[in-house]
Amino acid sequence: MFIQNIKHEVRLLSRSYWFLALSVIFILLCLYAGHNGTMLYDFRSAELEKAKTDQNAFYKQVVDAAKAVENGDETDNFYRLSPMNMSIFTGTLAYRSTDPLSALAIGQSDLYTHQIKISARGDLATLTFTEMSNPVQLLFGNFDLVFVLTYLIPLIIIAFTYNLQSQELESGRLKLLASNPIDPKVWLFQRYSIRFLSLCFILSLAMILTLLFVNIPLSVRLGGMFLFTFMYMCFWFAVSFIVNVFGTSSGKNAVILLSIWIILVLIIPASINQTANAIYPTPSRVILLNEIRQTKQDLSKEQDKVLAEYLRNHPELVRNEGENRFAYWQGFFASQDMMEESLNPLTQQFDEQLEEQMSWVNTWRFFSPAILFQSSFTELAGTSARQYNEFKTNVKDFTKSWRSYFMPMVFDNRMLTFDDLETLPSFEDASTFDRKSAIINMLTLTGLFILLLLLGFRKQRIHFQL
Amino acid sequence: MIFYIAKKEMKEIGRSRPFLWMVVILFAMSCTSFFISHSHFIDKEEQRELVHTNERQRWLGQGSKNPHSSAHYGTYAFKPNFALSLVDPGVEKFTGVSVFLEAHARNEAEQVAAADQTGLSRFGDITPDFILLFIIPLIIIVLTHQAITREKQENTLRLVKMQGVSNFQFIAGKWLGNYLPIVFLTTILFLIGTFVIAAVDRTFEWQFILTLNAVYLVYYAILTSISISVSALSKNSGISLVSLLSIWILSCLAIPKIASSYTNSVYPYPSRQEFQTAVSEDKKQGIDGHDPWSQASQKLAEETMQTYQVSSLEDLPFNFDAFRMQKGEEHEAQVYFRHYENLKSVYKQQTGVYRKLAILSPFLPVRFLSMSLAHTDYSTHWNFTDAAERHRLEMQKVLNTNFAENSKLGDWGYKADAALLSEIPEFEFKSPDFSETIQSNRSNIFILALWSLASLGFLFIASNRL
Repeated sequence: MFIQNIKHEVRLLSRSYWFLALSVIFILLCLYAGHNGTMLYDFRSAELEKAKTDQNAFYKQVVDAAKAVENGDETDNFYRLSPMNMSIFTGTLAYRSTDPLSALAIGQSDLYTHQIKISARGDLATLTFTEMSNPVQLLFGNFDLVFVLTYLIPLIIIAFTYNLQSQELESGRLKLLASNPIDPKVWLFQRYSIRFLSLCFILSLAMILTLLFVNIPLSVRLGGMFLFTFMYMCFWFAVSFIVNVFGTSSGKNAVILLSIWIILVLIIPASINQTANAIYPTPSRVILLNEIRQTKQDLSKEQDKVLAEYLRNHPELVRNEGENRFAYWQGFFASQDMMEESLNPLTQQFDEQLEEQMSWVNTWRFFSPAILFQSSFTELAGTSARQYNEFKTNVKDFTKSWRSYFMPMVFDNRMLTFDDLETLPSFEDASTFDRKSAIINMLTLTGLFILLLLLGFRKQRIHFQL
Repeated sequence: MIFYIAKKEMKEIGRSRPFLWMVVILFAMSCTSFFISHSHFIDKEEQRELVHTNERQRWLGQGSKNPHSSAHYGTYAFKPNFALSLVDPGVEKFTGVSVFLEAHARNEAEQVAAADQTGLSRFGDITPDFILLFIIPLIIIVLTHQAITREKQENTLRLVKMQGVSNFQFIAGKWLGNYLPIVFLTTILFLIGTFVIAAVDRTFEWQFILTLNAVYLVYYAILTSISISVSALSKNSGISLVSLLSIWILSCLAIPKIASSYTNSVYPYPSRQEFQTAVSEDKKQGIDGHDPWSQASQKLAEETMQTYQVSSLEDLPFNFDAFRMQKGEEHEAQVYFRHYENLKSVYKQQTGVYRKLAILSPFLPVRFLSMSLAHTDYSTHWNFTDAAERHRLEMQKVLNTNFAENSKLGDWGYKADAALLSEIPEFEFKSPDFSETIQSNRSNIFILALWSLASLGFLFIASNRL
């Protein structure tokens, strides 16, 4: 009977033009989504390479000047060895390496920049991390693989399973079936299993073709993405199973399943986001701007006092010998440092509120499997909001170290030497992956799947007993 | 007869419990979204007013100062908050709200709200436009998917036809009966919106909100026609619902994302790094106001001396340093103009693609019209940044001219009277008026009209196949 049931189901699916057509459309959609992701990845990679080349060219001029000075040669580029020139105009590049997996989930990579020129002059509070892009594109979002999987996979599952039991019940075939020596719950489970395996096959095919198309190397994280996708599918199959078991007519099943989809995929994520912003609003950037301007004005009015105060707090920088060629910059750095210190409580509020928002989202994410899936997928792809915030923090910390490196030279009134260039701080791309959250998300999806399945089996027994 | 059918349909809808639940949920969601939008708007407006006033005071409070120092000190241009953003915030969270106006540089708008939010912000917010664009279409689908299929399934269609009701009358009655409750709901929503808007801005122009209401009513008329047609052509309510939901997902979620990805792949924006490098390279090709030794500055000096028939720069009737500063400013303005025009041409090409793709989904023209009428579209943002740039150039001209006319070469210690600062007017930005808005949206209106006709044609075809 088991074999017959499988044969019957496979025959049904192979003769269903809807199933075949949707499978082909789904594969094409995955390929198109992969193509979109690759376009963006290639663009970002090329931009990053170009930025690195430009920066290396700038740096080479400084190195050449330093070598010339060391060899006692004349150079027109001597000014490049000024700590101001090096720290502000030559600067350095902080960047996030592009990850091939980002082609599968664009995430926040279209909003944020991946490379930023570090200059000792920039205010930490007003550093721009957003990329140049059409805001309409950001509003609509991208058609990438994670969109196809998060939004469309559940709908395909709903379309092919919403009436698996109810249709048999409505046509009267279930009674005929029940008169045969087969346990109806096993029969329904078999039907679901075959559909699940068929969709798994199509999904795997689509994803493998997409991976080959976008040329992504195999990795543990990629394996994690596959696992999440299959578990997300399992969850939606379980939802459909339980609705079929509890539901009455095919029409009602469709309405219930689609309502669940709307609530879990659209309403809950938007509501969690809205409440996070309402309960933990980030302080106004406009007010921050106001504070920055006011502090700058107050400090500029008493520039001499500022420098004196600053040197009182940093006696290691005090020098009294020779011509003071960086007098302006000494005052500037002193003001900048004191301004950042006075604005610190306000700027910290941004980070704290954002952390609170993220913690709120983390707490409530369990209410929507779509959030569990999407956040884990983007995290594995290296394009989650958390990872970009981490990049922001790293860049700010690095900017401080970059500035600190040159401060003694500025107050020492001396130019850079070749040896100084060898000890220049360089930015380390220290992206991390939140494995703990990913594991919890996976366990939650698995738990929900098992729970729904058990509930379905329990109810089904009652149903057939009636 | 059409009205009898419509009346009966409305009576059934009014008595149905799901509809009443939907009304309650919709009403609760609308009130919440308007409440959140309103309090957010009030906060934003208060902060803008405060910072705008403080910034002006700081500008005027500089006192007697070298005009070029004032130019470097700069000021901020703030984008006004538009009352209709309460209904449709459009792309506002992805665009900045202020532009720093300073010497030698055109700055990008700052304070992008989306950068201070979690990754969930890409799922959307529960705002009035979310309800108007996504939720009400879903209500239309839930209401109408079984308008005809139920009559078929219950065999009441034959009974109706036996009364001598033509197919067209039947379909038209069904259309009217399903559309009028939506008109009623939408009108209530817009009434709430109007009260909220009038509470924050009594001077807003009524034709904008009336047109916005009309646009959404046309959108719902199109959706009702499509839904009734699909219901008429479907065998049963389940198929009708699944088909309509597929259409909804395709038109409201998938096509905008496909349009966005396609547009960006055809006409990509440069990265911020690339754009800034290109601007910086071009700026080096001309006069730098602060570099009197460059070739371009030397050439300008020679030409100026020739024009004024003098042998040295000291003999000029004005301060050549300030004159060079102004010429440098003009060169930089040209560079910025050229690069921003290039950027704008990419934006226009992207807009062109979006408008062509609007043929694929009625969601797109409605989305663009809605943002445009609320002044929260990208075009209004461009107008704002262009106006800020014009203001900046005017400001530099006044300051440099004063510097040139009232001091001598090398007189960097010159201080202008504090009254000079009040000669720089406050920045004001006026959004496009109603006729301009309509003019700029002709293609969207045309496409929406095409969709209306097409959906009516679809309804007519469906009535013939009933």
